[in-house]
Amino acid sequence: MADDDVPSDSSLLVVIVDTNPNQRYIIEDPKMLTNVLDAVVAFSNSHLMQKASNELAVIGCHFHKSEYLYPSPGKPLDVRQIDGQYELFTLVEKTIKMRLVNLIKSQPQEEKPGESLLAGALALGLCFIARSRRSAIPGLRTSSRILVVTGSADTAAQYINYMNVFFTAQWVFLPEANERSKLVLPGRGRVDYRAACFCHRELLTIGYVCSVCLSGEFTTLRHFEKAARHENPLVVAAGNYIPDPVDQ
Amino acid sequence: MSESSKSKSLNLNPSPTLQCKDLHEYLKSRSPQFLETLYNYPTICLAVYRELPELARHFVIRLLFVEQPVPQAVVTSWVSQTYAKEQAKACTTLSELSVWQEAPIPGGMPGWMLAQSFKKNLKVSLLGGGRAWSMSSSLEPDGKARDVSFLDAYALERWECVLHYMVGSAQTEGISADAVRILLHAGLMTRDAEDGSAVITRAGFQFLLLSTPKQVWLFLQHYLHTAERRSLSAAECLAFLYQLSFSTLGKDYSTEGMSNNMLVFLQHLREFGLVYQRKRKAGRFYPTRLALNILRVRCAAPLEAAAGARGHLVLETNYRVYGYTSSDLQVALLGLFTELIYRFPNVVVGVVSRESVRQALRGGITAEQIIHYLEQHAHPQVLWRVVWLLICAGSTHKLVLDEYMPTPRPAGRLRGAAGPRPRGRGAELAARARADHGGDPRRTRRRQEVLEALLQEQLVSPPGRSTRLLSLLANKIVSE
Repeated sequence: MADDDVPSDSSLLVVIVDTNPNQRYIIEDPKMLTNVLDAVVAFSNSHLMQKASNELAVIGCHFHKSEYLYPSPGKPLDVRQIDGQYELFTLVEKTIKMRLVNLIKSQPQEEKPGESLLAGALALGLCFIARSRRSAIPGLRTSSRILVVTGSADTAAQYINYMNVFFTAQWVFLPEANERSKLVLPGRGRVDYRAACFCHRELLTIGYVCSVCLSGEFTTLRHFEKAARHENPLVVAAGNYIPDPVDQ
Repeated sequence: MSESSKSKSLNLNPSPTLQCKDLHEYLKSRSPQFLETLYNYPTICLAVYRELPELARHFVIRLLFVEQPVPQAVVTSWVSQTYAKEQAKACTTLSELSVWQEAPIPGGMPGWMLAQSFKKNLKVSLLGGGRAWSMSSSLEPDGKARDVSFLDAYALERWECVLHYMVGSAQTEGISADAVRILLHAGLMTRDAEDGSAVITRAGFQFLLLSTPKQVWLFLQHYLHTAERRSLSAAECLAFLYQLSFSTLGKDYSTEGMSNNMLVFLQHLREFGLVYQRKRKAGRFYPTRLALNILRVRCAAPLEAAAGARGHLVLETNYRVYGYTSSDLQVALLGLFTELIYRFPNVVVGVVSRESVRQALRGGITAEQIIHYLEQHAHPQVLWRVVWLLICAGSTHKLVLDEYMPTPRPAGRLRGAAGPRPRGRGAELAARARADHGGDPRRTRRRQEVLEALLQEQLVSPPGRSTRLLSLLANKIVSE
């Protein structure tokens, strides 16, 4: 684990790219995915450029599965320089593009495209980070972070998975913050923290919450029972915290 | 290379400390015209970029795609006020290396603009375009390809030839006259007045205790200094070296298109173990780990570990060191800071005693170098004992330093040493320290507190943190 104010020797970046064709920006203009991918590749290479010891993993997240786009699980491609680009960057670019094509080709045609499996991809990323930490040279200070690039909206069905993954990350990993603390960063976008009913997205001030997993705010008992995952008596939750604009 | 800069400032004794400049210091000592020609090589731009301080790297990448000059005030506003000093340091580094220049903005405000050649070639190395660095794309696959473990063993064997020669052991074949000339030029060896043979100097001993990447880099720096004399262009050589350091281990690269001078340079690198070639006329070569680690000085996996040689030192808590080796070189290195008491065909036994450490310190070797050497060569299972040894020996060091740098004690409490206390430099340092710190009891107490705190930390932290702890410990002890 890296302390916030101590620079790390090696930084691992995991990028999760949502490649689900169901995303609105892809439906509107399929060529946009290529632009997004080019930007992700340039960003990943810039990360590798910072230090010789930096590492990278890119995970493609589709609706039927998530896969490592880089590093390639099998033997790496035999890449030779064709222009002045550093060989490693060429390898990253070619590997990502080749494996993405394979991932898209492997999507089952009969099924209608579903939701992106982002929680699963996040879990894959966390496992990769854990593994690279275990096999690091002893004494080497490592730090890691995950970047998720997605055009999908929030999905209720994966809420529990998201929560599991976030708590794991919070317990085990700290972000590489020592560099960020020095720079003046642009302001964060506003996140809407208001509670909304899971099934109909109606804003609510008082609702029903499952007492087991503390998830799922619902306006009425009927909605709760429809979505209930746990056979438990429900708990009435009160209050809708509207954050003071000054705090954000 | 913060280790070397620390050792420069902690020089407690009159003998000169080894000057180990990193790439930036080396470049700053060159003329701006030389740098101009250097930045035409994408490899150099990438190498220089990677060694910039962290804020400077962020500045460069933000300016990389901007064509006009950017106001200096804007660049200053990128960093929060608390880090203004770091920001100033980043700006000076970029100016000294001619990576950016001052450029006025229409309207009169001062601005920054990246040097054209640097900008263009860094972009090429990141995104593509331009010419390939070598003609390797047309190489046929090698029928007799060599794997990584072979390359590691080869590199280790070749590099150790140089080190063996330095300690005068006849265990390995000698080295070329060129290599001897470089060692003499670097001050690591000197011609003996009587018989003209080369003998190792104090600086040479310090060199031997450095980590292998540092040794290689220092050696190459001196090679480049003498390159001009042999009509080799230092810029071309440097570019080729960095090209090597960016290659992939286990892959072969073509010699096609290389100038005669570069082919000569390649043969020298082959002798020192940085590249492997089956035959001199073979059209391809394999870079080894020694070449790749030129840039990764701090984080490189040690070559010895990669070559399968596990640490051969076993440390005991009674200050004894058992070295399971028959290599003259390793024995000589151990003898630098321990008192050797037994030698068998495959084991050598030494004691880390007060006298032996003091002798090492007098010879210009720093405590940090000793710790680093022990860490590099200790058997993995006793690695943690290095820390233990030094926490216990922390008091030994304290005593050694106390005697070497005498501090006044109440009369009648001499530590039992019979002879007169060393005078001269030690005494004047002590006098200055007294003036700075205003009294000894505080210093002694503080040192004790530091040692206790470190012992606490060792008891609660996992063994993997030993490197950080060691340098912490070394710094604290030696600097006070």
